[in-house]
Amino acid sequence: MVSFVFLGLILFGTLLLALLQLPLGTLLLLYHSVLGRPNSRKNSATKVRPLVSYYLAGVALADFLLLAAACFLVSALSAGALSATVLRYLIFLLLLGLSLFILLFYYRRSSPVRSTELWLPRLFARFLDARAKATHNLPEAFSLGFSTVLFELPFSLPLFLVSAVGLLSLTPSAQLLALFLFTVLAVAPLLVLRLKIRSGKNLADAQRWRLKNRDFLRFLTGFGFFVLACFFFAFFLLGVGGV
Amino acid sequence: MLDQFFSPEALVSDLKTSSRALNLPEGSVEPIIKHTLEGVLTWLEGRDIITKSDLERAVSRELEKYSPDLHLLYENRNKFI
Repeated sequence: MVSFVFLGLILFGTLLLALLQLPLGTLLLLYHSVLGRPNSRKNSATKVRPLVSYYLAGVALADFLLLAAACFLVSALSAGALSATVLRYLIFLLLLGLSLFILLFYYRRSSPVRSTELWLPRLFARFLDARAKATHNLPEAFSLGFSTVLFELPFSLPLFLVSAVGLLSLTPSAQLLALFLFTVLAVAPLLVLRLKIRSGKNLADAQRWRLKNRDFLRFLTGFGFFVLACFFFAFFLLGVGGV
Repeated sequence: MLDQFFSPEALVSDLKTSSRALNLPEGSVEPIIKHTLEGVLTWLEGRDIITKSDLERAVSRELEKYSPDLHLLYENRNKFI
């Protein structure tokens, strides 16, 4: 029962991480810039595939390393500067605050047309846009994916911490499995977008889907953060189920 | 003054980039761009004061008539993230 609670916590955290929109939006920017270059069509299509693969690898490695770093942070803080209970309270409050922030501010409202413009400061958004346009080789695509995950940290940090708390409570063999599952699920929406584009959908279809489901995704993510906070509070602070 | 924020060449270049990204047939792109530019220039005639947003709305309105996909990408440029 206890292991299922920990696994559930990790899976829930990963699903919420997968719902965050920055890596998906940056992947669309990468597609737009690479496919839009004045090459022959066949040339563009063959060029974009390895770039997208390396972008996905960058995202996956960043997720993997950040979860490992979060595990280290949680175990180091729990052993030293903060008690485990104080750390868990901090994570709970962070989740609760972010759930409200996502519902209110995840998408910008200043734009005159309905858009998927995110909370991200415009300086950072312009930086990612410029990086996507300047991506011509594989290391650049990899670093674009890696940096995109870092820019999302204000929202994803508590999800890494929650997953780390769950991960550290598992047996070592289960930890490896959970780490692998976490990484695969975190990049799943990007893989789906890639498959859709390869099967004939275009960027406008993808962006139309994002626009259509914008409010639903915002609600789902914000409410998901709230439910995860309640789940975390019940099992890790109140000790329901003997956790 | 108009040149400061409206360059037909830049608009054509942006639209060509987006049309390539959308994999639109090359033969259909040139007429779309031509008609869009003509529509915008007609709208501009006789207007003394316009803002950049007015101009972008005019381009968007014209594009909507000819290609919903290009229109969507034009409206959402710089707004993917």
